[in-house]
Amino acid sequence: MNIDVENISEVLLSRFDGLDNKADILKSRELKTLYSIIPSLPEAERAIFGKKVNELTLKLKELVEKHQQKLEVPEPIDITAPFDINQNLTNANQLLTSDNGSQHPLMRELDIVLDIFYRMGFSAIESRIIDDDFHMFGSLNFPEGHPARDDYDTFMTKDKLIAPAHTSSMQNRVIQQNKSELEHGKAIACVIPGVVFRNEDVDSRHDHTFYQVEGVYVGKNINAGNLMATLRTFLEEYFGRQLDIKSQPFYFPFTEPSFEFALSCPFCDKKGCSVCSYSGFIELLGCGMIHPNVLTQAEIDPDVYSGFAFGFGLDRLVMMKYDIEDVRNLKSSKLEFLRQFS
Amino acid sequence: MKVSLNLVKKFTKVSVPTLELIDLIGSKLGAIEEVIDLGQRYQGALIVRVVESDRHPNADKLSVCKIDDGQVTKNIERDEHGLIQVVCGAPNVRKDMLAVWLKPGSIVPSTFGKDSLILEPKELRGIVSQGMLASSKELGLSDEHHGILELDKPAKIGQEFAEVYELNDVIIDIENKMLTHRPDCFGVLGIAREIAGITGEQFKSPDWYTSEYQEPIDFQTNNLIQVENKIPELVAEFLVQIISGIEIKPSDVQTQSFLSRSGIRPINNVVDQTNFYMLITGQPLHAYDYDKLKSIESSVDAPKIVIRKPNPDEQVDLLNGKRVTPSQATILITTGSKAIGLGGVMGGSSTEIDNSTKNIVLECATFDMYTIRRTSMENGIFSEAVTRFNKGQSSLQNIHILPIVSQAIVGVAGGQIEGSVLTANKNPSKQTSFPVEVKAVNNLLGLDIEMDEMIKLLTNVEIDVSGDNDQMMIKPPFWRTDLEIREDVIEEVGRLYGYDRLRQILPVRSSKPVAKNKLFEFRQKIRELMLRAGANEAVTYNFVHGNLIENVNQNPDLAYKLSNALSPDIQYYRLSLAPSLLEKIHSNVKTGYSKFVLYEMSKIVENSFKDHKEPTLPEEQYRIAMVLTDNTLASSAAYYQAKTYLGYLMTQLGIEIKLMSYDQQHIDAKFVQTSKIFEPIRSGLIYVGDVFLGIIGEPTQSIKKIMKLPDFVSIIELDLAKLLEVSNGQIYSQLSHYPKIEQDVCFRVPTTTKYSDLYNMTKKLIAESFEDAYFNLSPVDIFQGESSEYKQITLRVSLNSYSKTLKSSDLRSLMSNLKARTIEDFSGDII
Repeated sequence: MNIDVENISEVLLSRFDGLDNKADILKSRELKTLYSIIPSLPEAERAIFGKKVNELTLKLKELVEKHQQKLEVPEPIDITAPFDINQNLTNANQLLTSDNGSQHPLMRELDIVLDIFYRMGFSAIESRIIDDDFHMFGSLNFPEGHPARDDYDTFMTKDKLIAPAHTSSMQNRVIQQNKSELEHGKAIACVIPGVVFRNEDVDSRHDHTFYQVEGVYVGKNINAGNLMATLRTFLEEYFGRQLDIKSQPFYFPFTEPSFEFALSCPFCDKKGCSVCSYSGFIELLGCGMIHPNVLTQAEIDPDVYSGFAFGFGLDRLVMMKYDIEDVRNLKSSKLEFLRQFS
Repeated sequence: MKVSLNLVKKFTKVSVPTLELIDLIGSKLGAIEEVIDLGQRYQGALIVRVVESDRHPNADKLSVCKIDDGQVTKNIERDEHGLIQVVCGAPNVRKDMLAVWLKPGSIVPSTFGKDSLILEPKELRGIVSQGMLASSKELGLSDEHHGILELDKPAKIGQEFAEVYELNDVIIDIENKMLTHRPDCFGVLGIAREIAGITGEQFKSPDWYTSEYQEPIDFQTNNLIQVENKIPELVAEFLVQIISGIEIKPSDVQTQSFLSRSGIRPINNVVDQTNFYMLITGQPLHAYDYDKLKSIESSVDAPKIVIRKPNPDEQVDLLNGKRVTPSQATILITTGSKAIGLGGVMGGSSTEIDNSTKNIVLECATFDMYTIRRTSMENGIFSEAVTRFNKGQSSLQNIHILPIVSQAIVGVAGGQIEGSVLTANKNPSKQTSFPVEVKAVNNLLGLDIEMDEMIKLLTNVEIDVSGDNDQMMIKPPFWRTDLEIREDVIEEVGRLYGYDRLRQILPVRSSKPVAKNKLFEFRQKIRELMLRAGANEAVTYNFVHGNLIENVNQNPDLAYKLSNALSPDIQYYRLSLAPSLLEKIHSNVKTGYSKFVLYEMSKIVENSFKDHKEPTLPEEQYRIAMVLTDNTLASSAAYYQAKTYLGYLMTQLGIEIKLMSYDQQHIDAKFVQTSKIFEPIRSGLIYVGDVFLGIIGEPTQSIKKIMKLPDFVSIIELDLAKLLEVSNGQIYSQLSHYPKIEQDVCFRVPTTTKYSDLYNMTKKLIAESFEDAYFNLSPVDIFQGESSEYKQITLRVSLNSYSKTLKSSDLRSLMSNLKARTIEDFSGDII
């Protein structure tokens, strides 16, 4: 039999360039024929012929692989160029027009909140996203194993670190770091915005990740009346109107006395609406006078200084303000949602 | 904590209307979760007499009854004797008995609220029943459903059922969280005391609760029982009392009713009494079957209770039918060798009170609140006892409570109290007095109240206060374990006085301006810039799924992993921001957005980098990331869209960057994980001088595939804190009075030539040639013919001199220099 492997090789190679699916070359009729011939050859020729066929197959396989790699790996580009080859000023990438742009409502609201607190004399520092037991609980007068810890549904890491469940985890740091203010006869006044985490089921009103804003004020002769006035002033400035406020006794291990602070609903003037669940009042803040143990932990003498702390949820504020129906929209990154907020 | 107002009224008069009381509780004690008007449930439940009861002609188990309601019901069908016909299935219905009748139109009380069942006249096997005769279960009093309720109190025919058992009641559910530090308020007595206090009334505890116990107390053993406490540090008090010859039966309806309306299931007369007094005082008690206890250790004459920690693998069978293996930290109640209960959490089944119980051991003890909490969590048992013990009940109240409960049990179950109270502990601790300055109270509250007024507020709730020279000496009563320091007393005064009466005055501060937080300000600036550039700011979760980390070729071992996440979606802290944003591209493209830029500013952590100031914690790295896509540009490299945004941002922030090719050794260690996202040959490293700023480029092919990304996607991720460091703000070039001159220069250079090399060379030459001018050098066109070895780059020079009008002849020497350098440095030419 006189079948020339070289000839067939040439035929196949010239066909390869024209193939849409390059892998088809390995299934070609010619290649199959070559293999089918091998057993029928005389023993002496069989080895040589077989070797040739195998080499051809390998060569074709290599070609297919190379082609596929070329598809996988994009062309190199000149990363220092302003635009691609064969582009010019008129057809190159442009910035999107500004009407497409948006700021996240949480972040924009935070700017508004910070601006008010700056004007009221508060500085600002962001809270940590990963912290330890001491800052989350220990420094805040939560003894080991205290049932009050159960109210915080705290995420822990395998390394025994903590995903902070409240921005109060920064109180100890802020008070300690600003101690010199007190020594110079001034007060420590600081707000601490940040993201906090709670290990709870997610629904339209609850998310495991949300933003809080903490406030800390320490000085001489600071009293609970100062706390009420500060919160009222902030809220009236924020909502741009006069409000009635109510306080309920509450329990936090790190403040004493502790309060829950409610304001008359700014959306319905106490008439009752969906925002305030038809109660006329909105419970918005937890607050209180800083517990002496917390001051002592931060190396402040509670017989000389006193202070207050408060905290509220930013997501809640934003949801109320824009009547957002589902808290999950905030972190969804849906453009339908985001682009509504310039 | 559900509190029956009728029970409260047994301890104090309530001088204000209920609605006002609810407001007062809210503003002076704590938030109310729910107020239930119990009486409403029993509207239409009347006491009737069964006048006739005959077998139903068509049903064996039904009776046809004629009842007498005293003619008080209007609009109802009556027979010629004025009686009403009711069909009843209870075996105990009989002629002449008094029963509770629910008339047509009324709601079955146990179904009140959700899915209310409203009764209608109804035909049962051919005979009409006007309403029904109710069982204890249907009346919401207990689980008892074998027959209709047998009244055990005198009642009049036609009387409202609610009147007979004090069911015209209001249940106030106060948030437990508020009372975390108030063990006494987990009893009606404590709430009643507070209600007196906040309505300005003097409270007086019942004598049995406060008077000194006069009888002898045995220590550890008497001839009936022995008790041994091996862990006095965890069990501050352990008292027992033996009661013999009792008879177990159901409690009276009144007791059952008080328990069930407070959320506790009635069991039997003995257990119900222990629960009733727990309801009143907050102190849980436990009753053991004495004979069962004795039989466990057959060798001894008198049974023994030993309180100790568990032996390894020791098990105990509990009342709820479960067998648990308590951890080493548990307080175990044993007979010495055998465990019979989890102290303070749940009793054991081996000594359970049942219908044949004759003799009991009644226990009244104080268990360590932290241990109780842990045992409860470890075993998933959240009993009424746990709720109360984990608030820290006073060990001093046991001796006041055990005797009254013993008497109450004898009162309902007969039998007699045997021997003395027995204690396992030597000396219970005592409450100590402490001073509080009147000034300190006024200072912290911002008030100006007189000492006498403070003393009145405090003594109203039975806090023992003596006042002298503007200093009060506070002796907390034994049940107030929360009163330990000055601030505890200040809170009491403020609360009872009313926080809403505080004088609201802003604190005085210095007029020195506050320094704004630089990073917040910077982020605000960037948000404005990005808004102008049509980009959308996103906020995504800090936690990500392990799959996302792996999909973008990052190493999950470097990410902090949560140990108690509810969902795998939030199991890791993310290692960079861009993957969270990439994840949002597909869904947005699917909803019809074809070009957009999403960006986020947030923090990331990686466990290899420690915080400089607090080395036990990881460093939190501020980042900004953006992802860009635009399917209208799909024919060109997506990289350049990111480049456009990078260029814009850097110009606006006054930063001059240097782009380096992606090679491992120039990637900052903190960006190694971030770099895994990028396709090396289509990405660049961003430097400002020696400062590594971040990475720009396209995602790898595998990421595109697995995340279902469109072809045209690019990414930028930058170190935000460093960006702030190197940003200079706006850069201004002074204007010139002279007109500008413009000239396009077209370079022909080998395809391998880097644009930036050519650009920088040109820029340098212009700057050297025209010192007294400002200029702008911008790209116009890049052209490369197919399979050509050269490309053509056209730059536009725009030049303004500050001192004269430039003519094209002024550019001649620049042009010839440029040509020479292009030939020499780039083997190219200017055409």
